[in-house]
This record gives sequence, structure tokens and C-alpha cells, in this order.
Amino acid sequence: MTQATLPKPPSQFSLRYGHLWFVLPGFLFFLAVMLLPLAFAFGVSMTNWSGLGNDLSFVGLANYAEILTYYPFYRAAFHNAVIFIAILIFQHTIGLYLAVLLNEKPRFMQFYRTVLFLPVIMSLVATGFVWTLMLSPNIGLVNPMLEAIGLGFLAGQWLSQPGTALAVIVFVTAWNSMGWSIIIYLSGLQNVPEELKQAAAMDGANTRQIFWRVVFPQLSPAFTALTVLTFIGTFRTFDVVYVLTGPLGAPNFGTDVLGTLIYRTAFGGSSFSSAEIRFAFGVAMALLMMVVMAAICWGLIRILRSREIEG
Amino acid sequence: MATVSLRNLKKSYAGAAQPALSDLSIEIADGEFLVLVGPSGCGKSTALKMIGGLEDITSGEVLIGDQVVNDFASRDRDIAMVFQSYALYPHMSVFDNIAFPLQIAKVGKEEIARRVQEVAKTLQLEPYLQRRPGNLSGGQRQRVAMGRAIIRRPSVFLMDEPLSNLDAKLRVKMRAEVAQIQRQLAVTTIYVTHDQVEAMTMGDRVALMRDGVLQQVASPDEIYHDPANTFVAAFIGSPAMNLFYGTLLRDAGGIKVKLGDATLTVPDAALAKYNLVRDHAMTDIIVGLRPEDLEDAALQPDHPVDQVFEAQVALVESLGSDHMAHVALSAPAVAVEDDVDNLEEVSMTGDIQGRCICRFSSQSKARKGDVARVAVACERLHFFDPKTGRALRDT
Repeated sequence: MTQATLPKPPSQFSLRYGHLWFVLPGFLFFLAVMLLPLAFAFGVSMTNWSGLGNDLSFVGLANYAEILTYYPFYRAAFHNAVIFIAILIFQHTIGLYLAVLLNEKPRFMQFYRTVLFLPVIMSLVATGFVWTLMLSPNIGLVNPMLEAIGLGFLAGQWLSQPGTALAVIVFVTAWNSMGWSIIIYLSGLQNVPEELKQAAAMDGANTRQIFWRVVFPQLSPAFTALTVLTFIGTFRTFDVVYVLTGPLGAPNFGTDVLGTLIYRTAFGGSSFSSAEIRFAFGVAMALLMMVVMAAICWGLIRILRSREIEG
Repeated sequence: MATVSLRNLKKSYAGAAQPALSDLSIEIADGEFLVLVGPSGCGKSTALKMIGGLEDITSGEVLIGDQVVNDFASRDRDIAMVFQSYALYPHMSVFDNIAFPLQIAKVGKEEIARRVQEVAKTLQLEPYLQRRPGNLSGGQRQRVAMGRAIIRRPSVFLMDEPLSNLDAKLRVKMRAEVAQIQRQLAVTTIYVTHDQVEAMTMGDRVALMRDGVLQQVASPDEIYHDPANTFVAAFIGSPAMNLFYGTLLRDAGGIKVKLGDATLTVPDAALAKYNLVRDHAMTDIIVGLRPEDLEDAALQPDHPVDQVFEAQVALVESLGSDHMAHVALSAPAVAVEDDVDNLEEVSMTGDIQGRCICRFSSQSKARKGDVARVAVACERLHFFDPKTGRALRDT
């Protein structure tokens, strides 16, 4: 009776693929800002284009082959790895410790949390610049302070000694990213049911045993997230190094990372002549780095996820 | 094994108008199964947590054995607890969950394996020892929680609504299992529930609480047949006891109670039990009638005619075995609300036509709209003071 007024039933095709309409706007945007530039970059990386002029020819995978034996690439990647490991250790120790303290809900918790998170929202360029001033041997605050508290023998040319420059980069990055680790661990800690801790206390565990045997294993999702985020963050680091030790990764490339190396290769460092600029080679390095990082992230997530609790 | 004594236990939270728990005193015998029951917010879980050391004690004492344990940490009280959420460690296998208390106590590996096997056998958990809690059903998780509690052989078990997350059928099964395990181990057990059926079927004694105040502690039979006040009377039993305002009369025939138009003779048996009733002659009173004490008079021709009233049947619900007849009684019903602060405030319901639920036998022919004659087992009437709600007898 009402059949005549019913709308036409959807076709098999639209039932099967109709939902794709909803994805289309996002996909178009993704295509425009990600996939097309990526394809373009891949095309460029197979040429010898310097970045200027029309002088280019197709060289195939020659750029990639060259990277495999290009020493500065490995040196820079090694520095990235050092920063990654150091930051990782820092976040999973100091960051976790501070999160545990905050989770005890001390007085003024909101205040502490804000103060500890502040560096995250500040621009790394700005904080990096402040740190160069503080560490300056001429007008800096750090050396006189060390002398004032009797640690004058530690004072030095922080950013121009190979031994300390990389440590300073690590320190500034750590200070800047600590807020993340605290927030991520804190949210993990707040998700641990109170009754689990009470049950462990009933079962005879002391505070230390409760933390290490019951609470800490519940934090593995936070551990995974933080490790992967730290990996990505430290391998694409650029601004801190650029501000603190310059595009050359001074002293003597002692702090050169992939970010500065690629920047210098593709766009030219301050003291290099434009003849040194090899845009296509830089693009090839960036793409290779992206692929390797994606692969490592995938591996990390697989390994770490398998440790997490199902259900 | 140990006794547990609660002496004037009190808990108040900062900013709260009334204490969450006031003046709770109970002596729990060695090996006894005590059920703390009451509506939500009555302080039963708070009391349990105070015994377990998970909640600070504002004042009063908790004794386990002869030892005051107020200042002892949970782990030093030799107790085990089963939580409502089970609180199983999700990252550990069933084996490790059960073994955890022993691992913490640094018991040898072989001894642990032996005892876990033993417990797993008792609880029928052997096939699941290597699984994680996330892969178990509700009933299995519940048993793992029990296993973790019993493996340590503690002096006292605390159980906080351990069955409330199970479906109805499983709950009935686990109810029997938990009670059986408790009797087997003979460990002093304090069990919190809001379910009166659990309370009645499991406990050696039942302690009924309301708004942080203990109402009555007695055996299930006693709390059912001799309720201390209207709250206990209304809480225990399903359907609940019918409570009406009535007037006590005294004439040559003895003591009678007038409920609206109906007048019932109170036999000596009831007067002997409620020995203060005689003092309340000619005054208002609250009368309690259990549904099973009300039968269709047509089925009981020998019932004394002075213990029968007539009322219109408003509704009949058949349970197969019984017919639940809702009859209209022209007397004001007593409402015992959970949220009334004091027993003094037991209030009248708006309409004077109180509903009275009768459990008629399935042979009863009474139908909706009929005027039924209801035979009252008057020797089992209950009498309460209308001002305080207390039972009119010496306690």
C-alpha cells in the first residue's frame, strides 16, 4: 500500500562503495598536500637538479646509491640516534618519576603540571635562543653560576667543544619535551584502577612492589606511545640544532643531525657556495629517511604492542 | 582463623553533614560468615574497607583476634579481599594472579606451583591457568579472584559485592559455591552485598545497615521473623512486608487491631512476642503483615472469623505456584523510604487506600475486581511504634 511512496532501494554498487563519498573530501586534501608533493619529490630525487635553473637530467636511483656510501649521512644519523637514546632514557626515568609524583595529587598540582608542561608549548627556536645566551662564555648565566657554587671547574665553552655540544643539544631537547612524557605517563597512571593497587596491598605488596609489579605493566601503552613519538621527534630534530650550533652542526659537525644535513644539502648552508647545493640529493636523503623511519616505527609499534595487555 | 571485633567504629568525611558510618559495633566469631547488607550508600562498603585498612578510621577500633589493627597496613592484617570488580592483574596469567600473594611472600617456586594447582582444582580453574583474565568469562574471573584470596590462607576474608557483576543464573550458582568454600575453609568472612537474597542464603548472621547506622544483626531467620524496626521489616523479604497504620483496641474479647474498616483479633501468641503491645492499647500503631501470612479465606474455611478482613482485589499476578493478590485496604500504608534521614520520619503515603500484597495459593479463585475475604495468620502479625519505627517488644 505504501510501497509506491517508498524511495528506490539503493543499488548494489552504492551499497558497497557508497561510504567512500564520505572519505572523498579528506582524501582530496590528503592527495593535494601529501601524495602529490611526495610523488613530485620522488620524481625530483631521481634527477640531478640543483634546485635552480632548468639544468637537470634523469639519473635514476643514483642519488640513493650515493647516500649508501655517503659518510655525513651516517654521522648525522648517529647523532640523531644518540639524541634519541638519551631522550628516551630521560623520559622513561625523570619523566615517569615526575608523573608518579604528580599522580599522588600534591597540593598545587595544577600549578606544577602547568609549569612542567610550559616548555612544550614554547617555540623551540625561542627557547634555543635563550639557551645560547645562557650558555654563552661571554655574557651567559651558566658559567658564573657554576663558579658561584664552587663548580667553576665545570664551566666551559659549552657549545664549541665537541664533548659538550651534543650533550647541550640533548639537555635542551630533554627540557623541552619533558612535559610530553609527564602528560602521557600521567594519563596512563590515572587509568590504573585504584582497586588494583588496593588488591596488591591486600596481597602483601609494599609500595615499591605495587608500582613495579602492578602499576608499571599497566603503563605499557604509554610507554609505546612515548617511545614512538620520541623516535619520530628526535629523528626529525632541526630547530634546536640550527639555533644552538648552526646549520653546520658545529663544532666540526659534532652536532650535525639529519635535519641540518638535509637542509644544508638542499638549500645551502651559510658558508657554502651555491655550487654545493644539491637539491635532488637532499630530497633523496629526506625520502630515504622517511621510509627508514616509517619502517622502524612499524617495527617498534609491533614489538611494543605485543607486550601490551589484550582486552 | 580469628575473630573480628568492631568497636564503635565511626567514619566521617570532611564536609559531609552526617558520618558515613556511626558507632558500628559487631563481634564476629571465628569462622563465622557475616553478611553486611543494606541499600547503596548505607556505609557497608566503607565498613569493609576500614576493616581491610583501605580506609582511615575516624574513631573506634577494629580488632582481629586480640590485636587492635587500626594502625596496621593492609598487608599486615592477614586478610584477603575479593573486590566487586575482581581487581585481577590484567597483565598476568591466571596462574600468576593466584600465585601473586605467595610470590610477594617469597614462597618457594615448587610450593607455589603445588598450592596454585590445589586451589585451581578446588575452583575448577585448571584448564585456564595460562590464560589472561581478559580471556575469561565473568564467572571464571570471579573464581580467580576467590583463588587469589584463599591461596594465602588468611585469617579473615573480606568480600565486597563479589557476585554483583554476574548474570542472574550464574549468581545463584556462585552464591552456593562461595558459601560452600567458606564453610570448607572455615575462615571468618565478612561479605558485603545489597542483595537481600544473598544475605539471607549465605550468611550465618546478617547485619542490616542504613545511613551508616546498624539496624539489626541476627541470623537470617531471626531478622526475617523478628525485625527490629520497620526498615528491617520492609527491606528483608520479597515482596516486602505490608506495613499499615492501625489502631489498637481493647474490649472484652481481648486486644484487637483496627486497620481501616477491618478489625482483627490479636491472639496471645502475637502478644507474647510483642510484649509491649498491651501498653499501646487505644493508640495508633504500625502493623506489619507478611504476604505469605495472608491467604484466601475461601481456601481456609476453619480460619477464625475474627481474623479475616474483606477487601477488593485490584490486581492478581500469577507466579504459577502462588497468586500475588494486590488488595485495597482502607488504611494508610507506611512508606519506608531509603532516603528518609530518620526512622522518626516514616511517613504516610498520600492515599488512604493502602495496597496490601497477599500471597494466595494457586488454588485461589479470587480475580481482579472481586471482593475477597482474606484470612490473616494473626499470630504472626508484627507491631511497631509509629513514632520511632521500633518493634514493640523488649530486645
